[in-house]
Amino acid sequence: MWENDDACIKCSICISVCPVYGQDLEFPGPKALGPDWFRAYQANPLTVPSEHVDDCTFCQLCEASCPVHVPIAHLIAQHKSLKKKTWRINLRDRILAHPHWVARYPRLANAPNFLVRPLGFGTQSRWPRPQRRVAPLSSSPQADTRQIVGLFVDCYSRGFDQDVLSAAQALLELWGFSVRLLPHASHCCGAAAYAAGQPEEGQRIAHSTYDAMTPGLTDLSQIVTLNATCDSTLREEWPLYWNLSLPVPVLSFSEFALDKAPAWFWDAMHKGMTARQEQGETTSWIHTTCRSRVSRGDGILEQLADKAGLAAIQPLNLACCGAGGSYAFKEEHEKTAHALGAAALEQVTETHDRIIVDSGTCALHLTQITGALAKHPAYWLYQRFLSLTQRSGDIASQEK
Amino acid sequence: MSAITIIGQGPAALLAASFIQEVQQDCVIVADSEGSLPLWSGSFDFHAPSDDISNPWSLLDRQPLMLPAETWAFLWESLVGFERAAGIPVAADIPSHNWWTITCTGKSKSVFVVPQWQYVQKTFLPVWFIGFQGLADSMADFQCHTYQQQTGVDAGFHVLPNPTPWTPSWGPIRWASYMDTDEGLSWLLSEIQKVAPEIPKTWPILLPQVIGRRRAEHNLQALTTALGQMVFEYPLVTPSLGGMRIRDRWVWYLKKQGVPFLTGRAISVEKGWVTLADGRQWHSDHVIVATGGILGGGLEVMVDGRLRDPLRDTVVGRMPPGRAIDLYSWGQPADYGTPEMTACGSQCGGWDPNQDGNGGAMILATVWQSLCRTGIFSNLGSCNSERSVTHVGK
Ligand SMILES: Cc1cc2nc3c(=O)[nH]c(=O)nc-3n(C[C@H](O)[C@H](O)[C@H](O)COP(=O)(O)OP(=O)(O)OC[C@H]3O[C@@H](n4cnc5c(N)ncnc54)[C@H](O)[C@@H]3O)c2cc1C
Ligand code: SF4
Ligand code: SF4
Repeated sequence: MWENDDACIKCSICISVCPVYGQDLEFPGPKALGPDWFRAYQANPLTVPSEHVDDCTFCQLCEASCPVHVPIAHLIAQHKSLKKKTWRINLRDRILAHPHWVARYPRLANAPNFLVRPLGFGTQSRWPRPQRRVAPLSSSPQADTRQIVGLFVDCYSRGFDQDVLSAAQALLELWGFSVRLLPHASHCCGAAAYAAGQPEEGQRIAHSTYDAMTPGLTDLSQIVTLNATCDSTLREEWPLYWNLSLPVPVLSFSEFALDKAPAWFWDAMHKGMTARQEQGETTSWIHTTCRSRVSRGDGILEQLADKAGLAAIQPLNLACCGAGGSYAFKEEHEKTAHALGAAALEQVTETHDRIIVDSGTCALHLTQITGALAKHPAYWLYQRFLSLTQRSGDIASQEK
Repeated sequence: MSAITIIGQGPAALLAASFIQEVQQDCVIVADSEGSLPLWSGSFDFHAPSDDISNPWSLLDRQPLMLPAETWAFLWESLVGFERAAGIPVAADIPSHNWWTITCTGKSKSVFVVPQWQYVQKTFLPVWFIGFQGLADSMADFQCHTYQQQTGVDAGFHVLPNPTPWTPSWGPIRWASYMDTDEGLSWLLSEIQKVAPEIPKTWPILLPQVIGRRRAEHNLQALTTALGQMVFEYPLVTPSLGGMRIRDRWVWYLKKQGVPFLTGRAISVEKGWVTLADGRQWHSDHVIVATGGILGGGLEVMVDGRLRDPLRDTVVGRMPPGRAIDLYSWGQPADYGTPEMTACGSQCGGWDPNQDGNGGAMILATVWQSLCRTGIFSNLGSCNSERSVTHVGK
């Protein structure tokens, strides 16, 4: 099916990094669900899928660890697709595999428990609150690069993290870029469907998003993303698994900022802090999400925070926080999702600390677990810029 | 980008990064998969396991690279220091003699730097082995028999039945996850308590190395306190909890120190420029190639100095100064005119740690040689001394 799909040498290194395997004693682990299952299935297509296969978060940490590059998580996604489900779980998973539907009508996330519980939605995990569009807040650009960047508006940012979206847009414009929001209407990169074991549906969703995006790409210099999962899906999975190749390079907001934000901006981030502001500085906890780690690595958010002059930067010792896109919203996964995230409590003890994290659903999950506000780096960068340059308004105050 | 790029995240890379951190230089690690530590039992080996070495310094001239004794002492001390800083419980003293540990087959193996969760002894003493029925590698009966036969010392054993949640799929990592739960610890304690009256009070109790992944020391201490006698682990075969605990803690320690761990496959390394398969590219003053070679085809250094990517069968770079070299002399200052790139770890020529049982010595010696070339140890005399690099070959 794919390169190296039958290459497993049974070293078990993948098991040693799987966060769910370490938490859930019934979860068979990446080797059993990926390469072992694949070999059994090749020999006998009637092999019964594991009843636990859906408990995999699709974090892909197993795949990134494998010394012989077995596409473990993608084999597991294939395995998931063969599992039979009840109609109500099917319906729920179909809804969650299409987060762009929900983002179009974000108030759906406010549905009362008595309506969602029978469908198998969890009630322990906090659901996101809809946010109305916040107008970009920057004043006129302070540099002019004449370059147009596409800002990929993932479904979560569109429906529930408008403050992050606005902050990112404001910063990009401040740095002299023209920003085009992509795609125009609510679409999805296909990651949610892939993670839920619906690879074909993921591919269909991805193709439709690609079609919606491509007319507006020719004059772009870059596509900038705000969510680690969408970032690696667009850049890596689209060409590798779905035969879709964007004609423009895709980069996370954080890496783009490190590379492209002008020197005056970084200067401004280090100047003008009043004694009171300095005193009020809190610890900046960094959570590089699993998908970001798998795709690009650890330490990039720390570099960004450091360059932005944030104080007391500390990584969180979390392999995967358990949010897993829509994983934590499923009743059967809530326990594992919360146990995985609870490891953050060993470090984050002050609710006024900030958590910097490159995914909206992980931010929501970590905020619920720790009580400290977790947000995308664009949000924190813009907050700091506003406070240091004495600009009026606080983006948080404009949330609805 | 950082002054030094390290390709790989196995033990050689982690050690190199620790030294670089120690002298307050920046480095970045980039790797395309895990290194081999999860396969290690946890000891840094210095020689073939069957040797009885009363003086570790006598080992040194058996290594392919001969370093002066003071350099070995410095390296040993540094390794112990890094492990302790990372929260890996090893004794602070540099070993002045070897210890004996007992393997899962009951054989005694001489070791030096070993975490304190693992049982070691100076001379052979009576011990009590405990095996778990549902853990394939813990064969306490066989282990006990071999130990008695080989040492002539008394020993006993028990095999504990399986806990309720056990299923036949449980491997060592699953057992360790179970022991990280309160339920796992109380199951273990109550099962040992049932057989404890038969175990002589002065004999240490040895358990398979699965007594927790995060809570191993806590659990062993809790058992020692509750039972009123010493409780340790004996190592199993791979995958190994000892190596996993070391990997988890060492990587975390370096991350806290601010070392970035980038993910990606290096496809070209030329004149300080590292290019990854995903297109990222940067320049470093020095590149350290710590790409292993046991699992998964890391970059290989060829006899003519070329770097080969075995997965793609392409040449991705060339070791300076670009002339044919003797692989045994890897990393030696005399052979390298420029400090752009060096190699360390198991892909260096002249070492065969799997046969010679000297993986620890190999890593210390080759990382040291590599780092000397970066110039970051310029204040340490032995880097510059000619005799430090006497090549003995094999
Ligand atoms: C099963 C086993 C058990 C062992 N146990 C012990 C023990 O208990 N004690 C002991 O002292 N020795 C032990 N050894 C022996 C020896 O020390 C090991 O071989 C040693 O771990 C090698 O470490 P390394 O850092 O050189 O390479 P590795 O640990 O193999 O790491 C190589 C790294 O390089 C990366 N890499 C490779 N190519 C590229 C590329 N192109 N781009 C980016 N990254 C790349 C890989 O992803 C990996 O992270 C053991 C060996 C084996 C095989
Ligand atoms: S890490 Fe790769 S080779 Fe090792 S067991 Fe897992 S799938 Fe197999
Ligand atoms: S994708 Fe993540 S959760 Fe799933 S098996 Fe791999 S490591 Fe475990």
